[in-house]
Amino acid sequence: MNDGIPEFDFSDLVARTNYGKNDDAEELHIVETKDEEALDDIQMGQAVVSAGENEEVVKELPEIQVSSSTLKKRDPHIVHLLKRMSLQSTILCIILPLFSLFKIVLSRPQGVTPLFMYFFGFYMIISQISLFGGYHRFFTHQSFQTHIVVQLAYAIFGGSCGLGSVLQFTSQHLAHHRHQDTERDPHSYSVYGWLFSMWGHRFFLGNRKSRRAIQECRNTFVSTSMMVHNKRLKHDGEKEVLLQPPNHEILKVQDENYVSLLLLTLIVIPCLVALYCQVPYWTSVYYLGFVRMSIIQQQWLLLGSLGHIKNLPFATQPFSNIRSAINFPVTFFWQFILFGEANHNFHHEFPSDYTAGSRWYHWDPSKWSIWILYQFGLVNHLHATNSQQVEKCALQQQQKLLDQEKSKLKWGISIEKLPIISPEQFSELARQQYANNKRALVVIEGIVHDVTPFIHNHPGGTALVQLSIGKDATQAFNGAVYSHSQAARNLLATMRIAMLSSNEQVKQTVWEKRMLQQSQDNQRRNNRQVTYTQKNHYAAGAA
Amino acid sequence: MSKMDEVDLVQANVLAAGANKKSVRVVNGFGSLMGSKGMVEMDSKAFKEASQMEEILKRDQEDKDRYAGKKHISEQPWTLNNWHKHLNWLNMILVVFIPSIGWYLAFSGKAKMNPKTIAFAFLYYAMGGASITAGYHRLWSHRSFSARWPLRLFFAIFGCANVEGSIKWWGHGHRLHHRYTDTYRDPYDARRGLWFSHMGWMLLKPNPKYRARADIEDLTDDWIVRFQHRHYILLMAFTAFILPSLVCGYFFNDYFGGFVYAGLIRVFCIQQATFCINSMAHYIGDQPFDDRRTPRDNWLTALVTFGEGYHNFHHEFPTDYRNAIKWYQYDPTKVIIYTSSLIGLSFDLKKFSQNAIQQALVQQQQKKLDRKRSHLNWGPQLTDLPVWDKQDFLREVNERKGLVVISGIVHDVSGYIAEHPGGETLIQSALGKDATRAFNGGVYRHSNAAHNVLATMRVAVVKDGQEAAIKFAARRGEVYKTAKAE
Repeated sequence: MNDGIPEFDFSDLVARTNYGKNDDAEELHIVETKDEEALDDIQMGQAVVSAGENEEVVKELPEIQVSSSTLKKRDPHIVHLLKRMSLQSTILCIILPLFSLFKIVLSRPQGVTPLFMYFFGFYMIISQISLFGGYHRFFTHQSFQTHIVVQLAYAIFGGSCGLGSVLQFTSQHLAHHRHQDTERDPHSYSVYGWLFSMWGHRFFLGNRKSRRAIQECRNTFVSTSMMVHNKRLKHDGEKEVLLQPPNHEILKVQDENYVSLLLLTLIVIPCLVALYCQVPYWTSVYYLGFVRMSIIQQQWLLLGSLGHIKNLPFATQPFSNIRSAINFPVTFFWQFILFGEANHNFHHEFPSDYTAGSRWYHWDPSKWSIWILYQFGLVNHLHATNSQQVEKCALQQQQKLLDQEKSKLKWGISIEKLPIISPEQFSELARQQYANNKRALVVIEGIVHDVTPFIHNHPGGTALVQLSIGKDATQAFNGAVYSHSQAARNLLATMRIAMLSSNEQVKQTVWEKRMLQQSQDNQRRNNRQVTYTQKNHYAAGAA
Repeated sequence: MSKMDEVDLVQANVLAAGANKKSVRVVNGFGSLMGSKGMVEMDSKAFKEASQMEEILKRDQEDKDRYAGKKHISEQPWTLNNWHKHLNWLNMILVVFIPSIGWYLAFSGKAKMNPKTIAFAFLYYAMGGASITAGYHRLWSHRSFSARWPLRLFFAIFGCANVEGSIKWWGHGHRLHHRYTDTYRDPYDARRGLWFSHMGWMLLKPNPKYRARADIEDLTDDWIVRFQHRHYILLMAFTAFILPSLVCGYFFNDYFGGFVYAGLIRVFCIQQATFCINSMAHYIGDQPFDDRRTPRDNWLTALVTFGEGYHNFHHEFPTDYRNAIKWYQYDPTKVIIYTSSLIGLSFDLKKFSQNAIQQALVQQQQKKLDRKRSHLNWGPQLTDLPVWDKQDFLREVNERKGLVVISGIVHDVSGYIAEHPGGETLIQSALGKDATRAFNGGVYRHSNAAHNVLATMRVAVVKDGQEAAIKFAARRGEVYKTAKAE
């Protein structure tokens, strides 16, 4: 910014790494050749229009046409669609779950023994913990550091849920957090609707913007882990630290061998269990592999779509309502369904909190397991948000809502806009007005009020108001006769007509001035806040 | 200011008390037995004194001198010799002894319980309750609507059945309560304890030091109020005890049961329910409109008192004919008044504008937020920070390890490195540098919470970066006047 202070150069940190590029990256070059600024301008314009409007989709259309018209040959529609489908996630998240669902509906479970059910339950809970606690809270949000063996377990069993390798999952989820509610969000509920955010984004590769966002997040993530890795290599002589942030090698190996990992967890492990429990191989593969995988991944997908339905009945947004993430109503119930992630608004505001906002009486085994590992010393750097910070955020949000509410109300004419008259003028004016028009002017706290319409509604009686016509009733108003309520003051403020000159009282006693000033400031500030945060999407994209 | 007339406070207080008018003197058979006469007689001297601080202080001193030896009974300690002087025996009989007889007769089995009588007692209870809340309270005390004579007569007659005094007496006390809420002049001053505001104020003799008077001319102008006050004892005896016995006797052949259940015990219940407005409604519940005084909103109190439990609203908007404004809040009195207006028995229902009500809500919420905010550490204000130029910064960097510049603000993050959720490595490589872009999305777009944490670590502002700093601070709601304007 200024030439003096060296800028923290993170560009080498986020440098493109050769390794780990999937086929998505090939297509990305099309976008990157485009004029970046123009692209960003478009996005900014759209973002300001307010995320979650259909307009964005409409605006998107011409752009697609432009880019596709530049291509020389257009594929037939069906081929085009097929090309844009993601084979891996379609099979894992659409076809296999559907198959499991139909099979379970159409045929009764057979050959299941109690021992097998124990295995099923155990495997289920281990995979859930690995997905929600490992994939999500550890790898993606890095809310703690853990032992290399635990990382390995997370990578294996989390991978068995069919949501992709750690790198795929993490980059997608980080992009979701960073670009929530915009087109860059890989599963944006507000832009593309619930069907897309639940299953659609598993079907298709997604639009270019989101793919680019994912790639950026992937680069950041990979390079961060690589940096940690390199740093460790430098201190080679020292004792190897086993409690680590996401280990680069594990990420790499898991990503490269994801298919074999799936084979292991969906086929081999169930077969071993079948051998031990004396149940048919196919039954075991079906339940331990497919059914378990489907349930867990659908849980996750449900969170991604339902958690962003802003107008879900009784949902709350205690920390930020700029974005769509909500805290679910009936938390206790939803915590079972969503495996401890029901406080989604909290999570989006404090992503690196390992509790995800769940309380001790909420169903959240991933939190419990992390805590137990922490007690055994297998986890450190456990990050839980300071309750003061939570309170601050909630306060800021409440203040925002309150400011909105305030700006909707009529607060009377602001004091600066009032004409100024001298006390002599006032006495003259009041006498005249009363004589000619029967208008009642009263001075309270240096401000002239026309109380004519109110005389007969005055709860204390007409006579008292009539006594004060043309006079200064400050003391009577403030307690000498009756100490008026706040509501009475508000009512009075709507009847202002002028301000007395040379009045030192005004500035000190009139509280409304501050009130009005604040509400305007706050409104301005809120608007500004929205723009800034959306500019940041832009900044993030440019980086 | 000097050029302008001020309101003559003495005159205003005379007006507020209604002492300027020659109102019809309405007396009832009990006369001085009610014990309230001495509390309302105020002469011109008293008004002057009540309006001028010096006078009040002087009078207090005089009173102190005069009564140095002798104290009013309410100021004397309770002893075995004077305990009976503390009590207002008429009220004692009306609200303690008579209901106790009822309970004795009921529990001893002398009065058999007849389901039909009980049902009638409930019905009669509801009629009496509605007369108190809609009639005594919202119509006469607060003039929140106007009623035609049949409705007023109904309220006046069945209001008697509750044995809570005449409209004139009740309305006067209630107006005082609203004018002097939470002061010694408040007849049922909630600050003096739950028990005092519930029944104590009736059973004990009041201190004449705190005498006060409210304008009730509009009440005495009403012939129904005058009539009721004049014949109060007869009306009370008839509606509270004789009528229920006769009705139950004639229809269910249960004269005695009617007297006990629909008379004595019903009177006890309705009295206690009414007292709850003075006691419970100032003790339990929340204060969404204003917390400077004791009244509170609570659904439980509302349930007991025909909807008068939304007392915080009521004290803020006393002339509103409603007490509950939300659809789900229980306020049958409001419904009764509204229904009667539909059939033409009442008119001119007063309502405060929704705007005014929302304003009060918003202001109170703001007050609560400000209070909460003051308990939290929001970090130093930008204006309180020193301004550093490049040399300053470089010098400081050599001395202190954890300095990072973000958006023109220097932060000392040394205490936070280990806690940083994104890892120590990232933060360490940014030490001594400008990490604005990395913080704002280059590496990670930090949340609002992160901004709050960061703000607590502010050390200084960079010389050329003030504008950026102001913008940055504005993101978490801090407002500074931009230097640009100057």
